[in-house]
Amino acid sequence: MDQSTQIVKLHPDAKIISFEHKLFILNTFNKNIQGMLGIDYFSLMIVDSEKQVSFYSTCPALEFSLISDNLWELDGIFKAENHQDGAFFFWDELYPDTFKKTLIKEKETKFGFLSGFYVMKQLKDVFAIYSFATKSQKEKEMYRHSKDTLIKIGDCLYNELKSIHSQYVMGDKVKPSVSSASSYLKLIIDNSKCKKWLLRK
Amino acid sequence: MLKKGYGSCSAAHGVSPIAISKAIGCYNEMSLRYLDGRSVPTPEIALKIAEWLEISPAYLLYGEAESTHSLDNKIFIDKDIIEYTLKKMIPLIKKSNDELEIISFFNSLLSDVSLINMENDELKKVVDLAIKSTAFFNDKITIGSKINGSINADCQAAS
Repeated sequence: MDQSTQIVKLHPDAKIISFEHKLFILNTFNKNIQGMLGIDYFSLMIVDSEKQVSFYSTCPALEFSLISDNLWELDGIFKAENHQDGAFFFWDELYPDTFKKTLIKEKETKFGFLSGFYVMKQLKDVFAIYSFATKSQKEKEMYRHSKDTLIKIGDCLYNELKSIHSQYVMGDKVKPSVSSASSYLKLIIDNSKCKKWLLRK
Repeated sequence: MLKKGYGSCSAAHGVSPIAISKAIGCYNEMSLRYLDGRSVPTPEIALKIAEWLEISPAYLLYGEAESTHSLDNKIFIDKDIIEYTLKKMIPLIKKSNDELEIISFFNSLLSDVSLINMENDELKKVVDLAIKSTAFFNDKITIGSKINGSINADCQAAS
């Protein structure tokens, strides 16, 4: 298959990993991120070197339904051509026109999200996609302008959640650390400090 | 389909297969097969038909009620599932000293299962999976305090 249209494959447990670690993922989100930038949902998508994707989601029903209804294959986020280091996309920018209405309904409206967006980062061995969604009515473009902050938030959550991911990969490969995360963790240890920091931006 | 005005008095199923054929670009024979249940549309065809009728693919294929989820934060869930989830949660409630954590987890889990179109027996398996993720409660250690501890350690190391 042409690399540009290659669809990633799902980890065999992709549907259930987030349920198996629901409390850990939810607490990681609640204690560190909730309330920042009006973000209501986070999902870490890891695409490994074999183009296999796994999810670590605060709302596992979203990924579960996408997979169960075979909608995931229609979503452009699962096409390798859209995986670009440092890219920002709103979810609907990657929906094909033919199925845009369905995907908006099944991925956003159904869950009460007013907009969703991705930021992407190439790490050493894996490609990380940080997926966010909000129920707030903030100006959508604000999120595009906050790309750097979103990447830092994603890095922080990646560092927290990579221990789970390591349980689902073969071998003893150590997952790469995100270099900028340590300094950022200082900022988000206290949500109020974090908000002040964001306001200064 | 009838609501959308695609009914037909002369058609055996009360719905015109020609309208379906035109909308999705297939032969009338195929539309007839879908209507009388001899064939099930592929996911792509089901999506096309669902988009055309402005309903969810799940409703088209399985007939479940449309989700009542919306911005008003209300959920629609079977009482049996609420009861099952609560029963499973009771040991955790007894062991945990973090009320907010339990409430957040319970809310989130109920919201998850309410959004999945599956039979109750399957939903209960999903509940079981999520409940297993709380195994840390058995040692009376909340994950939250572990996370904060870890972040504190990272910060101290970085400073």
